[in-house]
Amino acid sequence: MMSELERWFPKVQPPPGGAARLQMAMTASGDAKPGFWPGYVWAGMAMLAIALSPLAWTGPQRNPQPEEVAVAMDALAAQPARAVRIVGGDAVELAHTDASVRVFLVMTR
Amino acid sequence: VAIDEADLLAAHRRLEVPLHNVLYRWLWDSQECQDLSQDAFMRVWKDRQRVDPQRIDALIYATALNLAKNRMRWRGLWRFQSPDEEAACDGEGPEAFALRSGSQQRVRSALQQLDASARNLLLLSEFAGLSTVELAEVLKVPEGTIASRKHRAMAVLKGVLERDDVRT
Repeated sequence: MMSELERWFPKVQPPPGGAARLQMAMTASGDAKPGFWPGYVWAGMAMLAIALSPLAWTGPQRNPQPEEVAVAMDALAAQPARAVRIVGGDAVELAHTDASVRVFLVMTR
Repeated sequence: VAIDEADLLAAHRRLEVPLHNVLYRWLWDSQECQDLSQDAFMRVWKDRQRVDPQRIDALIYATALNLAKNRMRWRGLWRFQSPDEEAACDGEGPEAFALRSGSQQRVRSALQQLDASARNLLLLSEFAGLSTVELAEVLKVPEGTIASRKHRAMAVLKGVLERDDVRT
């Protein structure tokens, strides 16, 4: 026999999809892994990384000694002796349309 | 002491219908009941590191009832609404629903004569299947007073409904 409470409070059904909605909400909460670092830890690490980033930049190198220059100078030095003598370096004569003009590219160490 | 996703989903399977029925007698709106129920589960989920799996049912009921109380305060206490049509019982036709709807409005008015604790005690007794210890925990009353409180609440509700019957 139906009790008074059952008569007064007939059972109603909830709207469908409650379980799926809850599962999505848990996933969307973004903290599905228990014990994972909270957001403020990540924020602190990001700020530290930004603060230290200038130290990672060493700036432009002051005295680069490209290997190409050294090779070119060695090539010049290996050429036969010319009228112009360069001490501590070498020179190469460049072509010019005017025969009376001589142009040299001079390189020193 | 902690719960995981499987624990909470299992609790949802177990409590979805009974909790909905308890909340429905507060809010009288099926969709709002589901929203509030989801809110309660998510609050428990956010605090899962400290939740004892053995006490999860009582905790969810207590959380949901607190939220319902706040919701009622927020929306303007005891504002009258017709029970919504979405809450029709399984297999119920329009005539049966109309009859029940009238009856539910009387029950609703009668429930308003009870204080929150007495109303929750009746609803939880009917739907939740909680033990006396759990009922005492959810309602924050001494365990030894549960039976007498329920008897008193039933008497008040019955008296109001019978008085209405005589008037009509």
